[in-house]
Amino acid sequence: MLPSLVQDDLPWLQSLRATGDAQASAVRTLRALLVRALASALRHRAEVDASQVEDFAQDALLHILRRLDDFEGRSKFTTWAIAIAIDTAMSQLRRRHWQNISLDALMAQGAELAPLLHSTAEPPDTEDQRRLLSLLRDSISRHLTDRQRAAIAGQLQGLSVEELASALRTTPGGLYKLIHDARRALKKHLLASGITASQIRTAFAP
Amino acid sequence: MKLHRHLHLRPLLEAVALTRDSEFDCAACSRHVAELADSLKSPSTPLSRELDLTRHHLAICQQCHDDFQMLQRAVAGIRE
Repeated sequence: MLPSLVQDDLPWLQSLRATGDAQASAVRTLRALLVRALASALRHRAEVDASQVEDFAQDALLHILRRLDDFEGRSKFTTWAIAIAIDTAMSQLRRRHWQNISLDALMAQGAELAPLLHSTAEPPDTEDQRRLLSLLRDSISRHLTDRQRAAIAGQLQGLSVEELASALRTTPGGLYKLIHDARRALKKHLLASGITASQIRTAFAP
Repeated sequence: MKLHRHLHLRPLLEAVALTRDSEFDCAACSRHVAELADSLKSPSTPLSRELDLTRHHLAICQQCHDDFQMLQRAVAGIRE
């Protein structure tokens, strides 16, 4: 039964909005599909067992059923539903790994961002690398705000978007804007110094 | 928590080099990832502006990139 529903998007919305046995059957089928999808997606994560996959699928199913009106038909229904399931599972898994970093610790790290930046070619091997690193550190020190430096430091530490936003007391959208504005400022000043985008990207490439 | 004493340079340089004035944030990206995943199964089809911005965001944002790879793996998994 699962493969035929995977291939045909049309019955999903009708079936899930139906009542009685038709809806119950569609819900069971979607849940089974989500379990299979999440098991595939999470199979490399040793900390996730089968019962957790079942729990994630159940949570995702509830999200999906609440959001049926958001489905615009731009993708297969199943792909849309699985994307919600991945988001549901990963949000929970990331939250388990929150390290509760303090704002003070993050700001302190941000204050040291420029000197902490490190490459595998440290000290830089070539004149181009030395110049780029020097300009980058200078731009970070002179043109970014304390919060921008802290946000970039947290991002380079591998903190999740949600944890970093929480530590900086902003929203994920606010965090993205903060970092985007910082990247734009850095790029603007590097380009103004005669460095090309290609050089920025490749100077430290292996 | 213990913070690392070295921050790797390359991810920042990559992101700076790819920076555009107008970008999708994570929320906008999440609204289009399913469509992008389906579209990439037909690589000859040109991407819409929204899907180009989605793909660009995935090149900038490691977290969304990781989730997108999981989505692709999951979609493939239900057809195994």
